[in-house]
Amino acid sequence: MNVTRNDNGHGPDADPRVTDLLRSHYAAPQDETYWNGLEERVMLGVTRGIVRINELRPAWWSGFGEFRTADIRNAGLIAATISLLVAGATYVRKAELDATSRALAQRAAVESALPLPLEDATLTSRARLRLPDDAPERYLHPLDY
Amino acid sequence: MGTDRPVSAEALEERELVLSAQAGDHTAFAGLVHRHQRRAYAVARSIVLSHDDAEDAVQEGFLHAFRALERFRPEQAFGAWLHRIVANAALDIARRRKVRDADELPETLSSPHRDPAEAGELRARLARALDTLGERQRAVIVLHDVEGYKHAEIGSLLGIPEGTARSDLHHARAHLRRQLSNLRSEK
Repeated sequence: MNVTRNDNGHGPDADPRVTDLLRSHYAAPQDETYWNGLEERVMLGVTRGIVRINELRPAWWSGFGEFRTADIRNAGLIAATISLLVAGATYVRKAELDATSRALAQRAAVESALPLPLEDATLTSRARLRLPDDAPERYLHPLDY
Repeated sequence: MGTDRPVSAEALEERELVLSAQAGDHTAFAGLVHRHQRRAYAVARSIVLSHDDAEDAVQEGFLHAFRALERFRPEQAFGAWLHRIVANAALDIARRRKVRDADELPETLSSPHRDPAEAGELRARLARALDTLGERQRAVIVLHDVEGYKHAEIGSLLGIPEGTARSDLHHARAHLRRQLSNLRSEK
């Protein structure tokens, strides 16, 4: 077991007797049955470890089982409140959009019924005025009065 | 060193085992455990204070390695990658042990496995001397003088610069020599 690739514990500052004592103290078991047993124990540990990992790594849906009833109720209430708020906001927004598009449609309908405006033309009202018979306008524009 | 060497049959075989293990073959991973458990034990044993903790570190290290196997690139050296993981597991155990057993006597922690090669007194003196070393210096001297690792390899295993490993070794050797000098004269 001693793979000596360095100074073999006999460098200038090493005491060979202390090195020998250390080697004796730390000598690994020589019995082959010990190593066979250790190998079996290691593999048993590996197998148990795998089983434990599989137990610790449950299916994704099993997490729901850990919820308590109170947790579920609270989560449900929060979700319902949020849904109501979202639905309300959506309804109001949609109503606003509908009103705007109705107004636009009405305006478009009215505008499409009017004649096209003439270029450089000025529309004026021609209400006839009741002028006295001797009013000077009657002499200037006799056809208008 | 530095010359182009053909890839050995052993290395090719190990690469096959790694690829099969990555594909989910447990028998292939058992083959890797069989190949590397002694070296992994030696690395762990250099860091923790007892045989039992070393064994735990080996088991944890292999389990971590198995879980991280898909991230391992087969062109890397599997042994170096694994030993780094085992060293980290051992460091973790040593830290936990230090917190848990702060009040215990070092002799009880340092009792090695069932291989009574040395006399009890001698072993107890060495255990006490080792316990007065810092955790890192102890790991460095064991990895170097017992396991034969080079400074750069020790640095890589323990996550410290090569120069630090070198100076730790120097200080650890000097410390143990001082602590065990009277033992030598007694003998």
